[in-house]
Order: sequence, then C-alpha cells, then structure tokens
Amino acid sequence: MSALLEVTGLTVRFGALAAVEDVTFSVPEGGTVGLVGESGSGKSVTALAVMGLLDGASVEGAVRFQGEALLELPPRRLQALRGRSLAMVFQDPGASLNPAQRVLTQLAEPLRLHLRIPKADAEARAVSLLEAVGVGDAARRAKAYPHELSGGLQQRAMIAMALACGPALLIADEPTTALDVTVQAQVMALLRQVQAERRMGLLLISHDLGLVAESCAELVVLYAGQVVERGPTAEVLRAPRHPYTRGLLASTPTLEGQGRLEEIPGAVPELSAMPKGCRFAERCPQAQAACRAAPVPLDGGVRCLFPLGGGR
Amino acid sequence: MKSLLRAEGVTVRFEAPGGAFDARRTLTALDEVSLSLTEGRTLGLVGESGSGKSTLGRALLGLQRPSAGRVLYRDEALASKSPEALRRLRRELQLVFQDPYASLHPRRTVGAQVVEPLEVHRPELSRAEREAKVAQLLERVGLGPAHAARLPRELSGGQRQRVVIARALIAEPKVVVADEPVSALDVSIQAQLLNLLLELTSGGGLTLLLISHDLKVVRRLCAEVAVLYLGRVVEQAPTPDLFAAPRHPYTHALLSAVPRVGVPVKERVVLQGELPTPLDVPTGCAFHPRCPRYAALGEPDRQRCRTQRPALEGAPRAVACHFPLGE
Ligand SMILES: Nc1ncnc2c1ncn2[C@@H]1O[C@H](COP(=O)(O)OP(=O)(O)OP(=O)(O)O)[C@@H](O)[C@H]1O
Ligand SMILES: Nc1ncnc2c1ncn2[C@@H]1O[C@H](COP(=O)(O)OP(=O)(O)OP(=O)(O)O)[C@@H](O)[C@H]1O
Ligand SMILES: [Mg+2]
Ligand SMILES: [Mg+2]
Repeated sequence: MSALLEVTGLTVRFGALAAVEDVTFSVPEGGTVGLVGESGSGKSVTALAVMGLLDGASVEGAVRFQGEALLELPPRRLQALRGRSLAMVFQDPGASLNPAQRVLTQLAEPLRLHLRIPKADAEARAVSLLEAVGVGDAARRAKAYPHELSGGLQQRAMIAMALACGPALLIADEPTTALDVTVQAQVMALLRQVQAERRMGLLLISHDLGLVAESCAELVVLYAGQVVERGPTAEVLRAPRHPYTRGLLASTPTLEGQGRLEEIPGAVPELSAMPKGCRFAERCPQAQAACRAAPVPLDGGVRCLFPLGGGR
Repeated sequence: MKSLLRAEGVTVRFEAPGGAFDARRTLTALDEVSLSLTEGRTLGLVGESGSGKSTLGRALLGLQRPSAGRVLYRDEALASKSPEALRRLRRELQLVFQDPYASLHPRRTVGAQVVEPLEVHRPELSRAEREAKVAQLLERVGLGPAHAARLPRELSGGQRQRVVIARALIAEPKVVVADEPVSALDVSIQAQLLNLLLELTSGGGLTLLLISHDLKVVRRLCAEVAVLYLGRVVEQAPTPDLFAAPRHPYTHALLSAVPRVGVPVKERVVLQGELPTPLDVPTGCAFHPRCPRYAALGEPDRQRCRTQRPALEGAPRAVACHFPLGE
C-alpha cells in the first residue's frame, strides 16, 4: 500500500510553546489510522496543521499528500485541495456549521463550487448523502437551520459535508461523540464502505478506544504533543508497551462495574512547563531517575526507557 | 424519596421547515413525558440521537417552554414564576451544554467566564474569594492557572468542555442537567470528571440529570436510567436491573451496540429499517418498524403493536411495550 498522507517531524508552536513536537506517521490509501491521546495532547492541532488551518502558529516538518508538499503549497492551491480531495470533520459542530444558512445550502455549495454540478443535482446529491449518514426524512431535514437540529444530526450533517466531494483523505476529529451507538455503528459502516469503494484514507481521532479498536488497523498514541507509542491497533491494545497507553486502557469504562473509575493520577504538564526528560514521568508508576534526565527517543514504536514487557 | 424537579406530561412541538410542495409541519420532539429527579440522586437519560434528550433537559430547566404539560421545582410550577424569581432560580438550576464551543463567549478569557456566575449570584464574596474558588474548581477539572488566561479557541476541545463544566458548578447549584458532559473527553479525563460528579452527588447536595449516549458512563454514575425513543420514555429502571436484563427491545439493541475492546463487530444486534424521525412518528408503538421482537410476532399481536400505543407501566421498573422481554 502506498502512503496517501505522510507526516514527518511535524512540530507546531504557539509563540514559544510547542503543542506538537516531531510527530511522524502515515496513512495508506484505503487504510485507517487511529490517533488517540489525552485531552490536550495535540490531536486536533496535528489535524489542523495537516489541513493548513492553523493561523497564528508556526508549523515545521513535512506533510506529503498524494505526492504534494502541503506545507509549501500556495494558499489557493491548498484551498482547492481542501474542498475536494482533503476533507475534515471538525470536533466542534458549532464552529463549522454556519448558523445562518440552511444545511442543504451548506452541503450543496461545495458540490457546485468544486465539482461544478448544477444546483438541482447538487441538492439531490446532498439529500442522498444525508440519508447515507442515517438522517431520516432527509429532504425535509435538509431545509433546517443548524440550531433546529439535535447535536447528533448536526454531527451527521458535518460528516455528509466532508464526504460530499469524494475526498481521497478524510480527517475525522471525534466524528461520533454526539452519536448514540446505533447511529455510530451506521456511520462507521458508511465510512468503511466509502473506503472500500474509493480507497479513501481515514485518520480517525478519537478517545474511544473501543471505536478505535474496531475501526483502525494502525494506532498512534500521543502524549503531551509527542508520539509515545504506535503500531498495529490489536497489538497495542492487547499488550501496551508504554505505561501511558496502559493507563489509558485501564481508565476505559466497561459495561460492567459501577462507581469510581481508575484515573491516571495527575495531569498532562502545561505547555509552558514541559519537563526535559520523559513527559509522562511525573505520573508514571515506574519512573526512575534516568527517565527525567534527558529526552526519551521514540524507539521501536515506543517512547519509554523501560517499556512494559521489556525489550529495549 | 423526595422529588426535587419533575416533568408532568411535557410535550414540546416545533415547527419544522416544509418540503418542496407542502407547508411547514409540526415536529413533536417530546410527547407527554413525565420524569422525576429525586433529591441527591443521579438519573441517566439515554436514547437515540434526535429522541428529545436535550429538549427534555432544557424544558426541565425552564429554558424551553412546553407546548403542553408542566415542570415543577420543589412542587412549584416554573411557568407560574415571575421573571425575577426565575432569574434567582438560575443559580440553583444549571445546564452543561452539549456544544461547548457554542456556549462560550469567543472573546473573553475562560477565567472571566467561569467567575461570572459568582459575580451574579454571590456578590457578597470578595474578589480574592471568588478568584480562589475559580482556581480551586479549575484545578479539580484538571486545568491550571495558565488556562484561565486563555481564550476558548486557544484550548483543546476537551479543555473547553471542562471550562463549561466548571462554570456550571461554580455557584454550587442544586440541580445540574449535564448534556453529554464528557463525550468530547478522553477516558482518563472522563474518569476524573465523573469521579468529581460522583463525589458531589454522593454527598447528597447535588441532583444530576446526566444526558449521555455513552451507556458505560451512565452505568457508572447513575442510580436510575430512563430511555427515550422518539420523544417518549420507553423504559425506566434502576441501573443494575436495566443493564442486567433490559425489558424494552430498543434498550436491548442499544446495549448490544456498544463498541468494546475485544468484542467483534459481528456479535451485535444491528437495528434494521428506516431511521425514524419525529416528523413522522409511526402509529402504535413508535419502535415497531425496527423492532426485532415485532418481526418475530404473529399477526394479531403485530396489529396491537401497530395500532395501540403502549403505556409506560410498572415500578420501580417501568416499560412501555406490549410484549416486553423476559416475559
Ligand atoms: N490557538 C492556540 N493557542 C495556544 N494554545 C493552543 C491553541 N490551540 C491549541 N492549543 C493548546 O495546544 C494543546 C493541544 O491542543 P489540541 O486541541 O491539539 O488537543 P487535543 O489532543 O485535540 O485535545 P482534546 O481531546 O481535548 O480535543 C493544548 O494544550 C491546547 O491548550
Ligand atoms: N429549535 C428547534 N426547532 C426545530 N426543531 C428542533 C429544535 N430543537 C430541536 N429540534 C428537533 O427536535 C428533535 C429532538 O431534538 P433534541 O436536540 O432534543 O435531540 P437529542 O435527543 O438531544 O439528540 P442528540 O443526541 O442528537 O443531541 C430533533 O428532531 C431536533 O431536530
Ligand atoms: Mg481535539
Ligand atoms: Mg442533544
């Protein structure tokens, strides 16, 4: 499989503070990569940097998409790509739907603009996309303004919008958080189908390890802006090697128990107070002096001096 | 057990946009829903997207006027209160919005937005006291002082969500309706916030309606669960009972659709049939067109499902189904 998207050494700074540091991964054509990590670990910033949508930040490294160096593209070319072959579902529905425009208009517009489809056809296609993401009575619902739709309907409208022009790569940032499980299953099935039919690549950002486990072949775990572990999803989840990944798994609620959940004690260090050594050391049950002394490199898929299961 | 806040036969209708050839139509988001929040307890509200959960949450807090029925707080109807009395009640009744982005002011620092309810409702506190409270609560939701000085867009999605939760809790409300409060959060922060909510509720000082489609979260936190389907409560039961043996076929399907680490996709009940809309609620039991149990019934029984609306019956386990599971 050839890489559709290759991100190499991506670093994003807000002023002097690095929110994402030296992040490397790739998404194959037709494949799905999961990006997980604690809140504030840099998942959305990574996605927005790939899309070229971060203003006021300095972005370094290389992003290659279908052979083009995205970070070097002139803004107009990038914008053209974004409408067509590169699409994103944003984490905040409120931030990406225009409150003053009917959903139908918002869906049909890009089809007219990028694919030059006549208005009536574009609208018909928009309606069938809404149906595909599980919106019942789509022709009528499409006429609603965003505030007239429930949270889950808004989220599905955004997914439909992202799929409208048949993108080669979809970056989906927590695309199903507002959906109940039955609709989530339907939306994920649709994405799988689109991937199979059109070889669309998918970068799935999610904190739901259950969802990631059943959707992604590869997994990238971010912590405090760095990749701390990556590998085949099944392996990483079955036998996590980074103590952080294990903590993440342990704090996943199950359908069984009640009462307090296991927490990873402490919090992610603030950007302005990043430790020099391992960034997880403060919260790590097995940290030693060596962990704090110097930056820990990513080695064999794990950024840890004393990975679980040994072998380093 | 004392009911603190309750809905009695609440119906909410909206005008929906018309189709190509017909006029605007009425959409029934809630259809005669009765639900009671017991003081100091946590009730979970689950259900399919568009089933009316947010609308019910808003109606309970007086933010959405019912088309019929009424909402009572401490046995007094919200509709009978003066605007001034309602404003005072705001402090006691708080909502955590589903969409954090839409509920924060884009150009004010998050610190200023979290302190605001204190400025309005606790004017007797000194500035230093207020700031101390804000710092303390931010820390409990896992944010540091550096975050307080930022604008909402300079925070991650989960950080914004925590700001919204802190703002709802700061003035020590009596009732919180939390609409998907943790769905944008990763599991370890979820755990932290849910534990915080557990502490607040187990002290008995806080009554919580937790709206979530995440059954795992509901299971953890709620003593009781109500399941909404197309604007109607179809099942209500103590949490352990509901999870151990759901009685409504919809609840059963909902439980089996939860993705879990280590459980293959194939072993799930996937619902068939058209997705429902509240614009066109099926006759009889609204779930019958998708119901696996209906599909297995014979004709006279099916007819009953198609034509008679089942009432919500039974206590403490209530179910609205002519042929509930386990009978
Ligand atoms: N415009 C900005 N200015 C300054 N800091 C920012 C900005 N945007 C994001 N950050 C910071 O960068 C870090 C990474 O944020 P990001 O949004 O990528 O997190 P995330 O992994 O997507 O988290 P979540 O799961 O909560 O959405 C956070 O600490 C955040 O506060
Ligand atoms: N202001 C409004 N105008 C018209 N219709 C509305 C309005 N608010 C909500 N609705 C409709 O009422 C129904 C119930 O919406 P509600 O937001 O309560 O659903 P929900 O259960 O919270 O769903 P979700 O899980 O997707 O957030 C939906 O069909 C929605 O589109
Ligand atoms: Mg994010
Ligand atoms: Mg809602």
